[in-house]
Amino acid sequence: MVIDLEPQKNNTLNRKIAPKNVRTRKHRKLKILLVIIIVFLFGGFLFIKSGYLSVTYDLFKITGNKIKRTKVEQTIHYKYDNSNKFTNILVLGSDTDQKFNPNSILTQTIMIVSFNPYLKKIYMISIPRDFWIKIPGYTQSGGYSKFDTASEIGGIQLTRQLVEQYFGIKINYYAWVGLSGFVKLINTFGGVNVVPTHPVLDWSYPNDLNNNPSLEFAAINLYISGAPQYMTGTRALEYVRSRHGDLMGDFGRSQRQQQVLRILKNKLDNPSTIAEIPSLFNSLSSIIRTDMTIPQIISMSKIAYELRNAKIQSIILSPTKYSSISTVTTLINGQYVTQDIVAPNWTAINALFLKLYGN
Amino acid sequence: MDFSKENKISNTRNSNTINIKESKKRKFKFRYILLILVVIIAYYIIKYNVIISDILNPKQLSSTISKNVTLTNQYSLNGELYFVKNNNLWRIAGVTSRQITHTNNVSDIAVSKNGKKVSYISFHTNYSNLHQMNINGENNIRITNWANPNINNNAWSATPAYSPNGQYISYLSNINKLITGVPIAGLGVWMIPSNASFSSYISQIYNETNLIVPTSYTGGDADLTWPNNNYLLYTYYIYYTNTPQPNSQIMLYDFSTQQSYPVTPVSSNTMEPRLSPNGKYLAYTRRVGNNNNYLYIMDFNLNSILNNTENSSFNTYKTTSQLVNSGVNSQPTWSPKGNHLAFISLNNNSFDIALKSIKYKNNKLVFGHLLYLTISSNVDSTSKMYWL
Repeated sequence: MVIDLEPQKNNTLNRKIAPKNVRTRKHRKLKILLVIIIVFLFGGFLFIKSGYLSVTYDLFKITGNKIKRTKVEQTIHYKYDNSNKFTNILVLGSDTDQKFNPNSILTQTIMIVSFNPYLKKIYMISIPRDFWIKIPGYTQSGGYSKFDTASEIGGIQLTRQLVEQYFGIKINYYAWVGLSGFVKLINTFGGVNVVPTHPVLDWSYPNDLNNNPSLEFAAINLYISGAPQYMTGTRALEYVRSRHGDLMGDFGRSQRQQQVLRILKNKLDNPSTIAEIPSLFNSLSSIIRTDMTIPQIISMSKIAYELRNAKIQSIILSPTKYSSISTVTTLINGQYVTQDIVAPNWTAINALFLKLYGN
Repeated sequence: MDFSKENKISNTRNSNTINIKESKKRKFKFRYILLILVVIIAYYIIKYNVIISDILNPKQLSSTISKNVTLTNQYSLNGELYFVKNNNLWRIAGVTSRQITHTNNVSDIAVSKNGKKVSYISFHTNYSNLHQMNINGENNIRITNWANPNINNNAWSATPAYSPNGQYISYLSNINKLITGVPIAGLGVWMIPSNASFSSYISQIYNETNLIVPTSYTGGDADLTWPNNNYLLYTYYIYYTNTPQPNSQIMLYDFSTQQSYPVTPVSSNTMEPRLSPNGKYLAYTRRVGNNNNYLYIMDFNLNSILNNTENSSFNTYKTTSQLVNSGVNSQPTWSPKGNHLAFISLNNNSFDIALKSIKYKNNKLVFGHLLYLTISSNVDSTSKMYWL
């Protein structure tokens, strides 16, 4: 035993221990590296296998679609001091499911939704698509056309610019939804329970849902009872889109659109809905677009919850107070064309915006 | 003894022991770290799996429509209550519910006063037809046929109501457009013998009587009821004020004068009139705010309405008592004795059948607590109910 413990051997032992420690350290490093590799491999496998990658891609497809501000936009003087205290969202609705092209879209619905959690105020302002305005870059009709022409020739960028120029408020975000997008949005929220403003009877409702080219110009008869009822996405779309049987036409449907939007807002008031937002958005990936990010949407939903008891001020820039229905004959492509338009009453509109967003 | 040597050996032994101990400690630490790592990984796997599965299979925020009617058994129903769910006729009696039809095409029911016949509407794309069947769902006959390959020649039928003797059915339709060729008219009130059967749609029109022509571009009239031989009650839709707002009021159509008289004011947003069995009270709903529909009961004085005094003062409307002042409520239905009112109420995202007792005490209406007959049953809130 003593021999075994001779210094020389001990030296050897000491010598041996030192490299072993180094090796152990090396082994340890290797093991840690191995664990990290396993974790990453397993995590990566899980990530891909679960489809989280595509989901994340889908979420990014919907959200964060920033559209660069034009030089004109950067120089706009916002007339109303309080407008920057509001979050202003430009809501656009299209009667097309064609692939979203931010440079040229058809809009049937143009709405400004503004809210301020501190002032406890929410506004919904519908701009008639037939508003007769001067559009930069439009060479026909002496440069004048309907508001929806702006989105057709200049996409969201020009629409946003014109809303800011004409109404004097800054648009912080936009949100666009197409036909099937609306249907899916409503279905994703589990449908809506609606008390209709009146029965809907339309003898020429466009039967163009689902991008079927053969149905592009087809029409159907539509009847929706005036009784309170549960509406699926398709039914809700019919309710907010029909206009032939409505004395107020486009203005009537704007009113119905605002009604359904309020019902959706009430659904967002529910805290459990806020937790569902990522999953809700996944089902809407190809059919809605916005430049808001998921965290922004979640924080806005929280604000919506905080503002659940706030009174929503719904405004439609309709005749006779804010506009008048008129007819114009202008030169388009060398031919005189007569159109029904909505002429804005800018004095009344400016007074309204001063009241809403002024000091 | 060489103590220094022994000391060295002892030191070496100690150092060896320390090294082994340290090594063991490190091994333990490593295992501990590994364990923590595994726990963390497991936690995230579980967490993200839940999130991922949530994202991949988005949840619908409301439950899917159940196939059954679930009774709460808070109340044993005297008599039989007929209603519609999932386009089929259902009945509640006592504490049991039963599905009567399985054809999936029944909407807008009307039950004859003797409880033997049911008329209903079968809705299709572009048109709807009036049908009649026995109360047990047998002997189904189509009365109208407004189907046509040309959509301009289609028409709608809706909301039938039997005459008190059951010989006639009045119902809502826009068949006027087939006569005039003008499509803007909404649904007006028509009347047809209840024993009529389908022949061809053009000849059918001329066998019918157009009682009430609605205002164009309003969607038409609605909520037709035929409480006795002398008059009909219905909802008249209009646009009101200079900046037109959609509105509605309850009207009475008098068969003797062939005229309509207002029961509620023009801007009242009132609808769904239902007269109590003794004819003294009128239950109705009123659209309130953006998306609410409350339930009310008012005195009903026929003379006052027919003498047109209501038109300016609406004294009976001023007697209104509020039965339910929150949420979405529709289709008020009196019990045969008039001591209960059933109605459809939105409860936890489902339209269910609710109930309130009604007593007349010290010249005042006294209402009982709100009871639910059904729960999570998603009954059809656009179809009337009948309590026999």
